[in-house]
This record gives sequence, C-alpha cells and structure tokens, in this order.
Amino acid sequence: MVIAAAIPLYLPPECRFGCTWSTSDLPSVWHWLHPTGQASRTSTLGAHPSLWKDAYWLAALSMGFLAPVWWYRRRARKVGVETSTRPYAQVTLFVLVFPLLGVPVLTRLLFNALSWPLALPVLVVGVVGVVVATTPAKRRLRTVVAVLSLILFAHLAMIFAFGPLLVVAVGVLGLAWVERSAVCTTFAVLFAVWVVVVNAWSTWVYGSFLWPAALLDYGDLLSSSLILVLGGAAGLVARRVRDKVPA
Amino acid sequence: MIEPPTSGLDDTVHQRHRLGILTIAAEAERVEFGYLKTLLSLTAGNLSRHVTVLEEAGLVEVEKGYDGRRPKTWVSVTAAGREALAAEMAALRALLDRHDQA
Repeated sequence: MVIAAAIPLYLPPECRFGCTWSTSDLPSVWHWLHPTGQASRTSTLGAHPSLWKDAYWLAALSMGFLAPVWWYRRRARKVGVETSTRPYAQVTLFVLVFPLLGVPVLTRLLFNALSWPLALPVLVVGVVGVVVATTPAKRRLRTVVAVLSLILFAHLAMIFAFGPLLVVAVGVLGLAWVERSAVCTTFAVLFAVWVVVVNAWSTWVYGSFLWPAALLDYGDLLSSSLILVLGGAAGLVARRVRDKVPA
Repeated sequence: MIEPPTSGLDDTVHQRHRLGILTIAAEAERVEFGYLKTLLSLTAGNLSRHVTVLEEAGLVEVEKGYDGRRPKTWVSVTAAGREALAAEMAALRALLDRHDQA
C-alpha cells in the first residue's frame, strides 16, 4: 500500500516538447539531504528527484515505525503483558534524525575531505572492525551495532536504482531470523533474491529493451511488493491453520 | 562463625509464588493481574496477598487503570525488585555450585 500510494509521485510529467531537469533546479534543502547528489535515477529524462518524494518517504517511514508501536501497545493491553518499547523508540528517533542530520554532516566531513575512492573503504573497514570487535560483547551493544550497520547499508544501497528494496530485504530477513518462521523465511529469501535480480536488471540491463522504462519501474516495484503481500497472506493463513489444530 | 548455606536467600523473594511474580514481571515492562493469575495458577485472593507483600517491600509497583470499561491492575518490578531478584539468583547459583562440588 505504501509503495502503491507513492506511484503518483513517480508518474512522468507530461511535457509537449520533452522534459528535462537539472539538480540545480532543486531547492537547497534537497541538496542538504542528498550531499552526494544521490537520486533514484540520475537520467535527465523521466521521473526526477523532488522534495515531495523525500517528504513522502520520511512520513511513510515515521508511520511505519509508529503503527507497530500503536498496535503492540493495544495488543499488550488485551494480552496482559507489555515489554518495553523504549529501545524501539530510541532507534526510531535515530533512524529519522540520521538521514536529516547525520548523513549530510558525515558525508561532508568524511567524503569531501577524503574523496569517495578513499572514504568508502575507510568507512567499510571501520564498520566491519566495529562489528567484529563487538561480537563477543553484550546483546544490547550487538543490537546497536547491527542497527547502525543497517543504517549505513541503507545509505550506501541508494546508489542502486532500487536500493530501498535492498534495505527492505535486509529488514525482512532480520524479521525471519527473529521469528524463526518457515513461511517468513521462505518469502524473505524469495523477496531478497528477487530484489537483487531487480537491482541487477535495472543497473546493467536497463535501457536495452524496447518497452518503456516506466513499465519496467512499475513492474519491478509491483512484483516485489506482491511477494511481500503474498508472504503476509501466507503467514495469516498459517496462523489460522495452527490456531485450529488442537495442541 | 560459619554461615548456613542458605543465608543468602531472602524470605520475601524466595517464596515460590513471589519468586514467580518477580521473575515474570522482570521479563516485561509491566504485567496484568489476570495474566499473572493464569500463568501462576493462583486464585485472585492469593495472588493479591503476594503482590501486596512485594509492594510493601518496595519490590514491585501496582498501577490500576482501565482497558475500555474493564478495570485492569498492572504490576511492574522496581529497581530494588530487580536487584533483589538478581541477588536471589546469585544465592541460588552459589547453592548449586556448593551442591555440585560436594
């Protein structure tokens, strides 16, 4: 639903003499949020980056975090046991603040000072080093490192046309690991494999076909979201079947 | 003077049902009275008495509220409660070690 609701933002504008755009036309807030000039597609034709898209995804992200907390607290009141949502709230706050402040500031400090070819290995080696060093540490620290690594991955994955789907894939795989559910794992793996194919397709094969690029975009997005919807439906059916079978 | 092997155990915490209440409450932010009653297989009166003992010792906090029109009583463990439970577990562990070495 979230992806489907975003489709109007990605519809190509109708222009009589062809559409062109340049990042210099975009407001300064956009340049602050995208210090490396990242965009979902850097072609000068078709869907172009806008502040509206950023605002939509930020709002979707916020709702995506708030909705489970609301659902969880409501359910906890019914079931009668409630665990703390504080770490979740802290991570949410961090995930929202990081792209607005952390990424722009860090990118300007690190990448502008060292340049991409040098800064990227430094960053990757730094993160891997911290992950390895904290592996025997306490569970809470390991969780923090895992979340930070995922956020860094989320930033780097945006160089791919469908990078956000890669981030969703990592999240779904994490969920499958936590839930230890065969249905969730099956659909998580299926989704991850398909998302890698979609990104490879869009990065290296894109443009070599005769049908419109927009059709490829929507096809890729819809097919990926369809896997998640089917996974959710399968999970629901599996739970109903399990509830019916007496223990 | 030699200390008895069970001197580390706290009577307020060690009682089987109170230990159950503290253990369950320590695993969550807060637990509802009905949930504890079912999980510990206690009557409402019996559970209430044990919760009162723990509350008077400052080991749990009791919060009364409503879920819609239904009255609910929530129990949460205090910092002192967590410390007392950790001390109880350490005492039990020491007792087990002593038993294994014998």
